[in-house]
Amino acid sequence: MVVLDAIQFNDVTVTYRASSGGAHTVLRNFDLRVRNTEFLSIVGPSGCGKSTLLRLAAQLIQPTSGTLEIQGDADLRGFSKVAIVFQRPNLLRWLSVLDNVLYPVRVLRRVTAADRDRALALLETVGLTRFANGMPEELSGGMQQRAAICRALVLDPQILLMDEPFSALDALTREEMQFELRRIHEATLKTTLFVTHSVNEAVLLSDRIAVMSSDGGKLHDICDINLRERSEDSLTSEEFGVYAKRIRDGIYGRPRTAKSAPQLETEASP
Amino acid sequence: MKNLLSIAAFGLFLILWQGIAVGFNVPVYMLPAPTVVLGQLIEFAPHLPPHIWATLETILLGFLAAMAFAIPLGTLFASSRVLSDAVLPLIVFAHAIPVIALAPIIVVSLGTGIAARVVVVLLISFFPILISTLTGLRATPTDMLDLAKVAGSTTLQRLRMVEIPGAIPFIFSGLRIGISTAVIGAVVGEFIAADRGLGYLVVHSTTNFDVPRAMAAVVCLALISVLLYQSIEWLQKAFFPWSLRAAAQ
Repeated sequence: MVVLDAIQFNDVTVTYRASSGGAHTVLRNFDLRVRNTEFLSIVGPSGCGKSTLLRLAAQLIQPTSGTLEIQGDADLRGFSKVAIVFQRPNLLRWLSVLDNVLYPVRVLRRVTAADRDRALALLETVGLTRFANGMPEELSGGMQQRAAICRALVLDPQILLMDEPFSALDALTREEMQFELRRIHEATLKTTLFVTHSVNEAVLLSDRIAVMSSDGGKLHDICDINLRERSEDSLTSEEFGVYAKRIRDGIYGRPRTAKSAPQLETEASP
Repeated sequence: MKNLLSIAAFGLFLILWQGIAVGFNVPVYMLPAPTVVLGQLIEFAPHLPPHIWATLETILLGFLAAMAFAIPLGTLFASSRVLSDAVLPLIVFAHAIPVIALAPIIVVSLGTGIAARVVVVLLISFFPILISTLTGLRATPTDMLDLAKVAGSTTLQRLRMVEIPGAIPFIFSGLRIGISTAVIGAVVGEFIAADRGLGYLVVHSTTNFDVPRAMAAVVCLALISVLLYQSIEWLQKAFFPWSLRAAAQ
């Protein structure tokens, strides 16, 4: 049986208990299907539950109600299936760059020569071969995040979860990393769930964008992105602007105008 | 340059000390000049090794015992909030009791042998190592732990592969404070019950108004303290050089 959806959030509600005794619902009756091999970005105002969604998919938290399925299965913990990249690279200071990339392997089993070759090949794809035996502090912020992406890919996971991975980088490095990530995605076709605050970043990278509202963490809109090309030039194209406007309208709760995106394909708008 | 400045400042301090002692004709039992202390140090040098060794033995045994208790206990407290909430307040309370006041009671309980002195050192250097270990383990960034969880690690793996290495700079800070307090503990122990050691030598010399010899013993203690402190730094540099460098992120 071919499983079409990589991740399914079925009627998921997440409620946190505050230390004061009160309860705070971050997600309420949330439904979302992430298709296999797609790059889906989640955008929305602060506190709308974007990161909670990612933590659910990483199985770092459990839903208060509802179910979550990953590749049609209910329990898929482990970097071999799901890998995560955070805002900060979180490289371990006491390990070399290569050993950091191999860290998920080390957690699961003894590192083999094949693992080392794969880690080195990944480092080569992001231009870090000559830093493989160096220590993390020798790398710039962008290089460290590249190493973190290699670490996420070392066990060839089915799903890549990314929580604002470029937000701590300077503008130029961020732009460079965006194109690099898109290139990696096109080469590996890993299902990617990407949380970002940047509308432009989401439009540039994604196959689809899910817009969340701050109203109890609900899905406001899902928009297919069919950019003709994804390059520095596309950032200033009219097509890009129309997509970006539609996403911004969704985030700020503005009614969709005739000019915003009538021609764009809408898949779901619960 | 930094070292040169401290050597220059120390030299100036010695000159000032010598100037006051000689210039104001201060009696030797009140303030012996550095040259007098140095003369005493050279004269008494053949008799010093047994005293130095006795003090070193007390310091090292007590300090190693403190490490052996404090690091695992700190790790246990970091792993169990219930345990740390239950036991840590008791330890903090116990720490508030001055060990110097406890030392005579310990001697009564354990006798005048080395055991009592080692326990005094253990008690005095235990707390900084425990608190540093606990603080270091609790300072592990949540993202790092989450990353390890997603990778499928067990609690023990997270402790071994992420939390303990991450706590190394904190643990070594605790060890540096611990070794300095261990020297104080050993001297206190020797003040109360000892027949040799640098602390004993200070008490014995001052009882006979031999202040230059007491000062010579104090100089030895200061040198031991500096040497042990430096040894901790050397160990950290040798085994965990990354922990002395700036954080990577």
